Formats: sequence, C-alpha cells, structure tokens
Amino acid sequence: MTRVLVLAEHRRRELREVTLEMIRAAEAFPGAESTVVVPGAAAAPLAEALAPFAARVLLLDHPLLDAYSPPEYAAALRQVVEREDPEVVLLPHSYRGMDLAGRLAAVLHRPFVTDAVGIRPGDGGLEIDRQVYGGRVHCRLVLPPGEPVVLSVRPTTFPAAEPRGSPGAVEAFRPEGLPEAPAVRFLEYVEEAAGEVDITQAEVIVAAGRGIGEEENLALVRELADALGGVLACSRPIVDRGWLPRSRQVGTSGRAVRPKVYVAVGISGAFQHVAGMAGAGRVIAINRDPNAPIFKVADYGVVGDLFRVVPAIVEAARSRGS
Amino acid sequence: MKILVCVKHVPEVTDAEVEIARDGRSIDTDDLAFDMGEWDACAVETAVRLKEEHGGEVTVLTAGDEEAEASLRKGLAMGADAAVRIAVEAPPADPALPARLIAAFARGRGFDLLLTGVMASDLGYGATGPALGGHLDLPHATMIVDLAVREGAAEAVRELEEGLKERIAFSLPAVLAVQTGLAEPRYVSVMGIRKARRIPVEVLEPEDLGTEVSERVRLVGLSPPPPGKDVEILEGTPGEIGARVVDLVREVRP
Ligand SMILES: Cc1cc2nc3c(=O)[nH]c(=O)nc-3n(C[C@H](O)[C@H](O)[C@H](O)COP(=O)(O)OP(=O)(O)OC[C@H]3O[C@@H](n4cnc5c(N)ncnc54)[C@H](O)[C@@H]3O)c2cc1C
Ligand SMILES: Nc1ncnc2c1ncn2[C@@H]1O[C@H](COP(=O)(O)O)[C@@H](O)[C@H]1O
Repeated sequence: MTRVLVLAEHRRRELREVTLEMIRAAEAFPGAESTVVVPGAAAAPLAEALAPFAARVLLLDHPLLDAYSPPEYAAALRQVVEREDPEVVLLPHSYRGMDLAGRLAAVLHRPFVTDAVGIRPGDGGLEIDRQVYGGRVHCRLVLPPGEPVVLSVRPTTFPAAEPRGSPGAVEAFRPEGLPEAPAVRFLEYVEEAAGEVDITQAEVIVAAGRGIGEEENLALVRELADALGGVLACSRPIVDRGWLPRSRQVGTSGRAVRPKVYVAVGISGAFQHVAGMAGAGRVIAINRDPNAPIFKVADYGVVGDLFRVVPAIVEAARSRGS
Repeated sequence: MKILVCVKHVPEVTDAEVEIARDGRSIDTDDLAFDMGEWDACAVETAVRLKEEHGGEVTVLTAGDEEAEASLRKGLAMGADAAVRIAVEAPPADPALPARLIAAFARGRGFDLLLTGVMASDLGYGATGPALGGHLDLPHATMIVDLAVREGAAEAVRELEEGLKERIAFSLPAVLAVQTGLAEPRYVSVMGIRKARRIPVEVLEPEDLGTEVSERVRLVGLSPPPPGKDVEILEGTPGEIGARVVDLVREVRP
C-alpha cells in the first residue's frame, strides 16, 4: 500500500486537466491510496467534481489559498503532509507545479525529483525516468528507498483518470496559522494581445526556430510559408528576441496549434515547443542535426542545412504553381 | 540594492554530438562548449540593469567545479561586481543540492533580490529558485517576464500557460526565477572582460558554509532516448526533396 497525496490544480475556478493525469499517475504506485488535495475555500465545487475520480478528496478550506502564493501553499500543504503522512506527494510539472515542487520539498525536507516521464516503484527505491540535455539523453534516477518523496510528473505523460465505480468521500481541512495576507499577492491576469493572425486556426504552419540565426533570415521562412499557402509561426527564442510577436509562438507558453501540416524549420524540439504542436496532423522537420529531438515527433524529416533546403522547397512549390 | 545571481555552467547541446561516457552515468564533455545557462544570462542582465537603475551591487554565484568559473567571469564581464564559487565536483544529480548550498551562502548576507534562471538546460529540473525560497523562507516567484522594483517591494509579471500571464506584488527580499525574454543579455565588451579579470573569484567549500555535499537522489544511468515516431527521412537532390515536401503538404491540404 502506498499513500499518495495528489495536488489538484485549478485556475479561474476551473479544474486543470493535469489534475486527472496526476490521479492516473498515482496508480503507478503499488496499492495506491490516493487523496486528492484541492486548495482554496472557493474550490469546494471542484472538490465535489473530483469525487468521481478519486477515493478521497481533501478540500483545503481556507480563503487565503484561493489565489496562489507559494509560501502559504507550501505551509498549508506541510500541515496536510504532517496529518496524512503520505509516502508520495505528487504534482504536475505544470507552471504551477514547477513553481511549487522545489519549495514544498525544501520545507518538508523530503527528497524530490521534478519532470518525471516515467515512474517505477521498486524495493530499491522509486526509479524515475527523465529527459535531460534538451531531450537528447534519457536519464534514470532513484529516490532513497523507504523515504517519503515529492515528485512532479510531466503533463501528458499519463492519460486522464476515468471516473470510478463509486464517488470518493470529500472532506475539508482548514490549515491553521496562515497569515492575513499572502506573501505573493495576485493582482490581475494579463491576457496576450490578439495577433494579426490566429495561428491556432491555420491549416498549414511553417515555424521558424533559432536555427535561422539572424532576423533577416526570417524572410526565407516567410517565403516558404507563402509558397506552401501556410501561416508563419515560431519557437520561443524568435519571440524573445523580438523578431515576431508572442501571438506567433507555438508551445506551452505560446499557442497550442493543430494544423494539418506543421513544418518545423531549425527547431530542436524542446518539449515546451512540442507540447504546443502535438495536435498537428503531419509534421515535417528540417534540421541539420540528425539527433535533434524534433525528429522523434516528426513524420517526415529533412536532415540538412535549412539555407539550402528551404529555397529548394520554395522553388519546387513555385515551379509547380499552386 | 544587493543582488545575488545564481548561474550554472552548462554544456551547449543543441546542434552538438552528445555522447554518453563509458561509465554510462555522465556525458562526454571533451567536445562540448560550456557557457552560462541561457536563463541565467537573462538573470545576470536583469540584475545589472537593476543596479544601473537603482545602484547597488551584483554578486554572481555558482556551485560547481573550477571550469564553472568561466561562467562567473562572463557574469563579471557583463557587469557583476563580485563572484563566488561554492566548490563541488561534477554537477549533482540531486535537484535539492544546489539550492541547499546557495541558501547556506546567502543566509544572513542581506541580499535584497536573489535571481535564478527558470531552469538549467542540462538537467532541466526547474526547481532551484523555489527551493531557495523555501530554505530562506522568502517569497519567490518563477517565470518572470517583467519586473519593476521599488523601495523594498516589487511588482512582476509571471507567465502562465497558453499565453496567459499574471501580475503579482511582493516585498523584498525575494527569490525570482527569470524567464527568457525578460532582458536580452548584452554582449560582453573587451573592456568588460578586462575589468572582470581583475576581480578575484571567492572560492568557498561547502564546509565553510556549515553544510556538506550529500545527495539523496542517485543517478542510475544515462541512455539514448527511447525511439519516437517512425520518421521517414527524405533523401535525394535538393530539387527532389523540395518536390517531395510540396507533395506532402498538398496531399493533406490541396
Ligand atoms: C517554462 C518554459 C516555457 C517554454 N515555453 C516555450 C514555448 O512555448 N515555445 C517554445 O518554442 N519554447 C518554449 N520554451 C523554450 C524551450 O525550452 C527551448 O529553449 C526552445 O523551444 C528552443 O527553441 P529552438 O528549437 O528554436 O532553438 P534551439 O533549441 O536552439 O534549436 C535550434 C535548432 O536549429 C538547428 N539548426 C541550426 N542551424 C541550422 C541550419 N543552418 N539548418 C538547419 N537546422 C539548423 C539546430 O540543429 C537546432 O536543432 C520554454 C521553456 C521554459 C523553461
Ligand atoms: N550548481 C548551480 N550553481 C548555481 N546556480 C544553479 C546551480 N544549479 C542551478 N542553479 C540555478 O537554478 C536555476 C534553475 O536550475 P534547475 O533547478 O537545476 O533547473 C539555474 O538557471 C541557475 O540559476
């Protein structure tokens, strides 16, 4: 039997899908007895909504936890951990989870690993798979046997949990001694300005990555997009340098796109980028590095210098007309 | 304002051959170029700009081996005033260790702001900033893409998923993990490099800080990544490849 505490994630009063994935991930532990922890007094309806998916749901019934502030979240969860004594605290490697995991482990004095893509419990300790060096190397780690741990799991690693036969019990717990005001005060959400094009609606996307080297080379990729009747998009470094607006960025911190064809030009295939294009129908990658992780998610690949390959495609498209 | 910036000396792996070493537990670093992490460079840039705006002092710190001092030198050349290396051997596998060592150094030294990158591009834990906040019992925030510091307090914008962001406020001291895009790192000037050469790197042993190097997470082994999709690599002359790509696109979207 393994007691697993699963941290639920919600935003703007809506449950985030990763929560169900983590409930599912908890089942990787032998004889898992999961308790799903739902922070915030206002989250009571969400706790109810989770009941069909878990044996037990624990609402952290405190208004201070309605908005996220890491010190108070960690303090409240510490009380829960002291009360429940779980062997595993499980959270998603989402933005929220990334923000919290290290802190939680530090205040709990528990060993931890983030961004797991595989979980293998065993007598010698919990074995974890991770991707390191930008996804070019697979890494196996082991957590100390017999010690309770904190673990975050990469979103989309596990499918969402299905409803169980009978709904679980919902209990409430009110953390004590929380301050009057949070240390990190939420002021407002800032929405991304809508771009001049909506890349989420595009059927053909041609995306430029750091491999283009210089801003002026963006013209080449734009030409390809035009020649293929597609929309120009990009990876994060292109936006960070101010070469294209954020509305053109594909990835976890950009847009999730689902075109029929996605052409990645000079993009290495970091998981934060790939997460945004997972819904693409056909993926064609152009990269001079045969080991680039993008080739692991591509259907077709061209291994070569984009400065030779891209003009050749443009040329072919033009000579055949459209 | 006193600012500490944590930097990690990491191999540049995009577009490089990453080979697993004979021991199966590390990578061959002989042919790899190392540099300060991408996120850390944004953090140094942010710190130096804050100093230029508000006055104060920037310290760059790494927990690493002697080679890692190259990243400290770069930080100095970018405008940091002091550099500290906590002497550890190869980068630890345990994500808890850097934060523990850095906290042992930072405690009681009166930093107003402690900056880290969001993530180190080698092991990619993305955990050191938050863990540091926990150890020092300071507010922390990650994925910072905008920052305005006033007397003893700050407002920041942190990125969330899918293009959404949130504006937050907190008092200083605080720990912030900087996201790329916050400040485009400057190129180091020859003058900067010369100035940096005159500043000594202070080397501290973990024991000097009343702590020790111990790891609870153990690396079992490294291996090539599992196979992905069955990718078909297009071969031929540029003209043939070009024509094939056009076909592949028009097949699905005529
Ligand atoms: C919290 C967080 C959120 C993030 N969100 C996003 C996101 O939403 N979207 C995103 O894209 N990234 C995001 N990132 C960044 C991500 O981790 C990577 O750093 C980024 O995706 C890398 O972009 P890239 O592939 O263009 O650049 P690189 O990784 O530098 O890859 C460049 C590629 O170009 C190839 N290349 C170079 N020259 C040539 C040539 N002449 N011909 C052909 N190929 C060439 C190289 O082999 C290499 O593979 C995020 C990171 C974090 C930590
Ligand atoms: N050994 C180290 N020395 C100094 N800073 C580090 C070290 N490891 C991580 N950091 C800092 O923590 C950030 C996140 O690293 P990580 O948690 O390892 O992904 C990095 O961008 C650095 O700013």
